[in-house]
Amino acid sequence: MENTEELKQAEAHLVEAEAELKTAETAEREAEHEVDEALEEIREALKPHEILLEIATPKGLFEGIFDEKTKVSQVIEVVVNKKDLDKKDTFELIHGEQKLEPTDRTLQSFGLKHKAKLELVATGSGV
Amino acid sequence: MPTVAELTVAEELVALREIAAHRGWPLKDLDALHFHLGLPASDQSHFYLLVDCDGYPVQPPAWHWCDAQGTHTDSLADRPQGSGFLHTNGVICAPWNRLAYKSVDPRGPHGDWAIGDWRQNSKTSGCTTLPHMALRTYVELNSPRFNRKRLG
Repeated sequence: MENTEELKQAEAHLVEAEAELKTAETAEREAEHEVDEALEEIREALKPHEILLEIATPKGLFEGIFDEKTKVSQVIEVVVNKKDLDKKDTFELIHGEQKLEPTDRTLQSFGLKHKAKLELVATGSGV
Repeated sequence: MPTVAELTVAEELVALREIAAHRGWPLKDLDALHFHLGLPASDQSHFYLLVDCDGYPVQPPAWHWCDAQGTHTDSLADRPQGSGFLHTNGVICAPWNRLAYKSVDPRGPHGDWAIGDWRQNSKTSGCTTLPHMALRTYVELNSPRFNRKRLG
């Protein structure tokens, strides 16, 4: 009898939790839309020497504006800090087929301009 | 009560979902422990993976190459041809892929790795979460190590 009551309560909590999850998902979608709009405004306002980087990281997306003379190592440092990635790991930035190495070179020297999509992964994690 | 594997997968898929949404990668949850992911490659085609996270993170997930619908995992035409990571046996060669272990899958290139030590394996090199594994796979499919062909 007691178990049945507990089961009913648990089911009620589950229904509540599912409803809360749906509300949160809706809010998340709205927030993402607002972020996209804000980013579009930023893109339009970019100065000629600035590059908007959209970097896919192990902890989700990072978006930021860098001067074209920024070194790749500085970009990696910023992203690792902002995304709270493990500082014990060594990371590499990838642009299409190109690994951005050596990392003391600037973004500009790799031909990046205006905006670019990159990936940040741990060095050596591909056998 | 959700299992540790289910909780871990749910938490890690948040980041992967964010990346997939922005990059246009098809990602579909099949249940709490399985998902289907599509990744674009440098030959302009897509490769698809069926990921089985049963027992994760105690053991690594199994990354099966599959078709676009995720209905079968046995076709050579669904597997990229390349070297190293893109092993000629048709499996992703990395300690974070359960299929790379000969003790799990006869195609597994590695009889020398202990599956329980997958996180400590030096070849894992920080690649210990689902979004990181997906990103590494995407990077390899767009690297010179992928020779823009399929195994079948």
